Amino acid sequence: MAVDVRSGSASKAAGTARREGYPELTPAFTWVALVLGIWAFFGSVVDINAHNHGFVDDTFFTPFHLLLYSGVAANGLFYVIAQFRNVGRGHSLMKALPKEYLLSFAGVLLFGIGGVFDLAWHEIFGFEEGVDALVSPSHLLLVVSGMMFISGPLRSFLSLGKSGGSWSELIPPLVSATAILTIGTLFTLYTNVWTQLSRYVTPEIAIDVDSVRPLHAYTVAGVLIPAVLLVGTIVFLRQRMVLPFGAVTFVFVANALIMLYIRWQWNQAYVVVLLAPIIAGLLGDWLLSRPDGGSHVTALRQFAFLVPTVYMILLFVILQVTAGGIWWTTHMWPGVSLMAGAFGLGIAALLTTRPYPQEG
Amino acid sequence: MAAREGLTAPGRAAVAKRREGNPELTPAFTWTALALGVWVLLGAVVDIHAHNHGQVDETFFTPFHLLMYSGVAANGLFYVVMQYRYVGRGHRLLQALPRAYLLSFAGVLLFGVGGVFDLVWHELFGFEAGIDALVSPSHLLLALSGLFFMSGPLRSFLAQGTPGQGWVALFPSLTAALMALTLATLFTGFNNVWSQVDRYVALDPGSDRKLAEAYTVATVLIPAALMTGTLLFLRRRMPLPFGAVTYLLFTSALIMFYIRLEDTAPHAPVLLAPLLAGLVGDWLLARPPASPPLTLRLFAFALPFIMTFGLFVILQLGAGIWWSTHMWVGVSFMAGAVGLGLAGLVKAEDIAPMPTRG
Repeated sequence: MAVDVRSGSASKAAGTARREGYPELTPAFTWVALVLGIWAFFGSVVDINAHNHGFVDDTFFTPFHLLLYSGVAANGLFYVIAQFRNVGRGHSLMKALPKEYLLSFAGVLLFGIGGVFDLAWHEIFGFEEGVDALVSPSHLLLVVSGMMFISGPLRSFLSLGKSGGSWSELIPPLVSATAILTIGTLFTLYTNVWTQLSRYVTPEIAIDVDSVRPLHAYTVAGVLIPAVLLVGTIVFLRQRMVLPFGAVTFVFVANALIMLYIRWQWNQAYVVVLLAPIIAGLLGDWLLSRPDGGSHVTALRQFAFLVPTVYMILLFVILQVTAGGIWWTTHMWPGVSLMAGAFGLGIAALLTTRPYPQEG
Repeated sequence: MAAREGLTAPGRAAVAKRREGNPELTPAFTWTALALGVWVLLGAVVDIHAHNHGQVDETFFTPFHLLMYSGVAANGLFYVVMQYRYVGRGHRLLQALPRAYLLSFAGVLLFGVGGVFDLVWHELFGFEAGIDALVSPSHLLLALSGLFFMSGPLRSFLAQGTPGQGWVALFPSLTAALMALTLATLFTGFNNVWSQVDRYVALDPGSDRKLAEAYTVATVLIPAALMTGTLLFLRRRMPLPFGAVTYLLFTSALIMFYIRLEDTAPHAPVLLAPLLAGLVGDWLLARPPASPPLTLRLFAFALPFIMTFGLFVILQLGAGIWWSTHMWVGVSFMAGAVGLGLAGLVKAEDIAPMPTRG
């Protein structure tokens, strides 16, 4: 012991030498952060699926919650260990994780606070049922905290200032972005055409109140809201990085698949509608990969209008052909598809007119 | 003609002398274009109001249609006269109107094409009823053409700026932006909390509570996105004078409130919500920003959040709503999140500088 203290003083001094800046980001760190984020994300997807299919009762102790919360715990463990290790190597407390990952760690801590807030909220205002559970403030706080750590690989990539890279470099930010988009669509799933396909095929009930029928309005919103989220995500990414061919298709198909899955019992009959995100995604990839002819703004506006329009028209054509038709009139389905395009165009109007990142 | 033939050769040469570029934009031109656009929009608003209140039957010949279509005709007449006049002064056919106004003229022509398309559409697919009328492709084409000519003063400002930053200089472009926003909210009026405010008080969720909940949530989020998106679009491109945010939010809400006035009138105090949110928004933008992107994000979150939260607090203090506490508080935050998401699309370096005092 005495020997250790004496002989170790120099090496300890070296070991605790203050290091400036953040620790280096390694591919291993990025992939671990991604996998742990996806673990928690998938936990929430299967939990929502279980709730929609009546696989859970009122107990907290379900295998779906176990998957979700063990994922959050694993994230916490990872960031605590990495933080502890890098502080031990001389990094300052606020710079002990690779750049942008402090917010991920904060997200895990906030998730813990959100859990306590959730208990308090339930105590004061009671438990949520149905749509309430997706919009209640305490659950939204959990969502925000989840987004903080799931978005780590995306925020980290964007902070590097790189415009592109190989697929292996781009998978973490793209998967992270897809998960963030899908959290957006999951928490608006009650107004998402993919999840609610059966509402378009069979009008279960119409609450008629004078001239405006909520069922009509509800189904229109179910197209417009996901269209905005999808287009918004892609153009957000395209402003900041080069998207490899296939990226748009990947994001669209993964999102549609998850949204179909969470009400699988009702949606499996219409699984052929997945052709719509595949074709619209490929169209989007093609539009973004073309030379922009000197006008990147025009190219992105074309994307923002055409892709959601084609996406929704295809969806409704497929339903018309394969599901025995939808109850919307011919006025509605082409018109609402065009409105989805118009919303995309509106989104594009917010974008920068400066040049976008280019290959090489 | 005789007078023209009577001109001397040098005189004729002067008349037909080719002029490069677009004619100069005068304040008179801007204000006329604005007034003519407002005429048509008001026609559309009172027509929709009349439809919602059963004041029209199946006939085309109503005073509301007269107001709207005479406005379109007046726009057409104005642009034809101006085009003719400036071509006569030597401007090229495609540069015979002040910059950005050719699209306004094209909008009037497209309105005519849209009218024919509308007839054909009705012939093929029948007449629309209810919401169908707001989303049918032929009516969307008419809306788009209206957007072309109503947005003229805004596009003109964005193309060439204006010699001042005060209210008088910016009013035409702000009002044109308000008209574009109003077209969007009118055509999604079925999903607009201001025109459907009574649903939050009176709609019996009855046998399909989930549908009623989903419908009413979407009806908050969509106008929140449109209103905040419009303001972010404007703020990115131009300085906004104090009061501009309040003007846009309040007037947009008021118009939407009016189109179902019979049902919404008992809940008139809710209009305090856009007023309050607008003033907070104006104050946020008027402060010297420590960080423009951070201020814009705060603005984009606070505006729809305060507007929605304020709306529900006012309703709770009055008639009460059928939403649970989970919902009205949570959906207010979601409206803020929608605004924040839109702000994420605006890059910091694109934000126009605000005018400095003194």
